[in-house]
Amino acid sequence: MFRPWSHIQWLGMGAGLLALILLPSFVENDEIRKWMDILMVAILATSWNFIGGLTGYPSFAPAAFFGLGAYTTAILMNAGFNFFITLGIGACLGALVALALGVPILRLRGHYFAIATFGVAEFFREVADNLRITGGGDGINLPQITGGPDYFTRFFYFSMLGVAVLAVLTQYFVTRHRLGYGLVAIRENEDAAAMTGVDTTKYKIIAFVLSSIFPAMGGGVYAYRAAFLEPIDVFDVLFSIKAIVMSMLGGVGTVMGPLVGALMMEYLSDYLWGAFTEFHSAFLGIIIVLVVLFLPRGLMAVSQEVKSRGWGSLGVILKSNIQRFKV
Amino acid sequence: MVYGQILINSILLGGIYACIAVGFSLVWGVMNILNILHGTFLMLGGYVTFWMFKLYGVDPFLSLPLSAVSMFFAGYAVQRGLINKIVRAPMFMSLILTFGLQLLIVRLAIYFFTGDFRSVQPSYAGFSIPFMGLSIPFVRISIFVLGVLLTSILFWFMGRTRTGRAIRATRMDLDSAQLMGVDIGRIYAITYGIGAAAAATSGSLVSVGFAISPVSDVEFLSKSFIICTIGGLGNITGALAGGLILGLAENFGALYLGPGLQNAIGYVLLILVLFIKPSGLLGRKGFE
Amino acid sequence: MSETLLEGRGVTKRFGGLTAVSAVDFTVQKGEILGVIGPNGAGKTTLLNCITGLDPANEGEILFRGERIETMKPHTITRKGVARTFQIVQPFAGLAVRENVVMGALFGSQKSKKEVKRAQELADEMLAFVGLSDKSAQLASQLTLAERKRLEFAKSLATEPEVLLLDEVNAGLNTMEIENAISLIHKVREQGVTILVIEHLMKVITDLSDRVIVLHHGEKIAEGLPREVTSDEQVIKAYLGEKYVAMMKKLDEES
Ligand SMILES: Nc1ncnc2c1ncn2[C@@H]1O[C@H](COP(=O)(O)OP(=O)(O)OP(=O)(O)O)[C@@H](O)[C@H]1O
Ligand SMILES: [Mg+2]
Repeated sequence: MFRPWSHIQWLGMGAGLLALILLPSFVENDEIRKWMDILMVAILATSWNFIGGLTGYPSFAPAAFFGLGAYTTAILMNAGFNFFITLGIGACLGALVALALGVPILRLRGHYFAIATFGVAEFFREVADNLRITGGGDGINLPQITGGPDYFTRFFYFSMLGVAVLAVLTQYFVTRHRLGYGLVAIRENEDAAAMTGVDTTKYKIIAFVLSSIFPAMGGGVYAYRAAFLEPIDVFDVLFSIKAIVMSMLGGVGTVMGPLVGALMMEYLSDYLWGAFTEFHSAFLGIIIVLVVLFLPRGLMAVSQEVKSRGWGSLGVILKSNIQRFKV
Repeated sequence: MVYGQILINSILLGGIYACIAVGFSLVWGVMNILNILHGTFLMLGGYVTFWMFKLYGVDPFLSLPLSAVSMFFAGYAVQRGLINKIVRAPMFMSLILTFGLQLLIVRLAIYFFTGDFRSVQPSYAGFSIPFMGLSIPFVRISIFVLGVLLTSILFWFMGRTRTGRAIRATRMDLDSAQLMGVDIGRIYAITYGIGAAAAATSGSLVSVGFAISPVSDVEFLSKSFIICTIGGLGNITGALAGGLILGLAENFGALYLGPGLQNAIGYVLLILVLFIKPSGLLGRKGFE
Repeated sequence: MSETLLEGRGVTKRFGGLTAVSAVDFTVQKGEILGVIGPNGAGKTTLLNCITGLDPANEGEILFRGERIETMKPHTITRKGVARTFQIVQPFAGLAVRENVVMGALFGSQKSKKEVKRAQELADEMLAFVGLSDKSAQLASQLTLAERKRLEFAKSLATEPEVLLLDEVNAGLNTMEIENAISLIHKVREQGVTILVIEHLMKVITDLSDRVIVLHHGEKIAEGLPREVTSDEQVIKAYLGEKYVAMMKKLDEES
């Protein structure tokens, strides 16, 4: 299942990280911003993997915690708090809310769980729309960051990168230890997991908490960068959808899958139809349909099969993917 | 007096809510698909009625069959061509697939129809019927009656006709139904088509009494979630009760908490019900 | 006197109007093999579900080494040393055979192997014990039924139980496979594990068990040595129906 990374794999990851750290020294601000977006969805996808990919609970809550973190940063920074402290508080708040909600919600299975998490995100949005402290539907302004565009583009980029690294490392260590095995056992067969001694309730809650901490932090960075928040922007179900689809595109349940998925999706979509910004969601829709039909187990799985059977068999592999689940 | 009027409004709203949710409940109950496209079919049905009225002056209640039939075929095609390919995959896949289609269709709808809110305004739109000192809007009572009527017809169909029984049989056990020679692919497509037609019908009704835009689909979808969760899956009393409870909660909630929180109340109700009794207040699983 | 390991007092489980297990008392002595028999729907599996906490009893007490466990959660009970197999096998279908067993080793007992590596070692031992070593890299879903039943065995043994509850490990197997399974059960007992075994086949239960209890319509109708129980009139009635018993009686009288 999860083998510890080999030295070569660690080297590869290190090289990738180094490239990301050096990136801002070589490219324009526009390009940096694009990579910041990639990192943001990578955070969402990696986080979703804890609850959705490893544990098998299809959560639509990422948007809820993303928005929660965003508003936490907005409100606290307006009250004079340091940005990084607001990120920490946002993470704690996200964890606490996940803990409180997880207890009732994680008793549900399947569609009921999906609906409940969706309901939570929508409920948060309605609340943010109506509270005075969030500025209601009019939105809320944040303090403007000082310094020139070169400075603040890099500031936000590195903040986002920091959160992403945290998320990925957490995921790596979870999957290589007892916790990760327990989560996968729950995904594969919850009753059997309980009978082999897994404390299913506790483990599910841990997974849900882990899956909400990093989106909350990412939301905080997003808020400071945007300098203005509206409920409809940050509690957008599309954040949840993207997290899910990118995990699927790469391959759920693995550390690399969500990263690969996020990279492919954001970079390629920008490259291929960056000009048609208006139709982004339509293209996203088309990608979703194609991924579900042809890559239900993700790119990683397909690339492994191609590796063992050669490129010539790509057509056969895709065809067998679409045959797999039909009536 | 205020209460009486709110009560009447709630009941009228509850009737149309039941009608909105019933197709969703059918598709979920029979095929275990959480159909994100439900709101989209509803929206498209509403536009059929809107354009028939706007372009050709067809009375909204007369264009109902057209809206239903066209969306039946659209739904049939979607299930046959796409969803059937992944029926045996984890249930989550069909949810995501319909989500992808929803994004695509809604985007196209915005392109072709613009994002404006539209409403069908027939000449009798303003009429209301005085009743014991209260006033009952004519349009609302009509769509209430039609909504409840059509919902009942659907349940009659499911319970009493051959196709209806075949649909219920496939729900029980996919494999043995297939072994017995039932063409599952076709039955599923018909079921999905019926779900889409039911959605479109309620969309047509909604376009008269309320207003629609390409993005209102999500609102109706959420209502369907909530109603099915409250009422439980697949029984007429459940759908009606769910609709009624939601209608009452929204109207009285708006009265006491302010209209801004009207939608939030639905979600609170949703989460409460899931917490107390996951199979719905009147819940039985499946579609009987 | 032998030591009582597992004990039930008045265990009762209702599903709506149906009483699936009705005031059943039982004891399992350390080191023995206790057989539980009864016709279809007698409540055997339900009793197991009560013991393991998967479907807690409505009434009664269940004691493991003198400690009340009837309100504990399944994973706690497992960790105390009560393991089971499922009548309908419940593998982690998408995982490799070895990983299935690793789960048991990782989580199964108080003195659990907290490290994945140690758990894998134990898992390999268990796979060798049940004779599945050569399949350890295969997906659990690719095994034959007999192999899956052995996998269930390995998985529950990996939790290092003191008492093992076996639910119809022989159902659906052919004669050869049944013999293998029986010798496996004996091997497990030699390791010092106490066993409660549910069985349909009379022959298997008489060969295997030291003592037998019989359930019928949720009630315990007989208890004793295998020989005594299988010749008990009530038990034969429960198994074969009244008519058969009447017929036998008539034959007896005639001869
Ligand atoms: N979850 C449940 N809900 C309702 N009834 C149940 C449930 N589980 C079992 N029953 C009923 O309880 C009775 C006892 O079932 P149980 O499975 O314990 O029998 P069994 O002795 O294991 O039979 P078999 O030999 O067929 O395995 C049966 O009538 C069964 O239908
Ligand atoms: Mg049984």
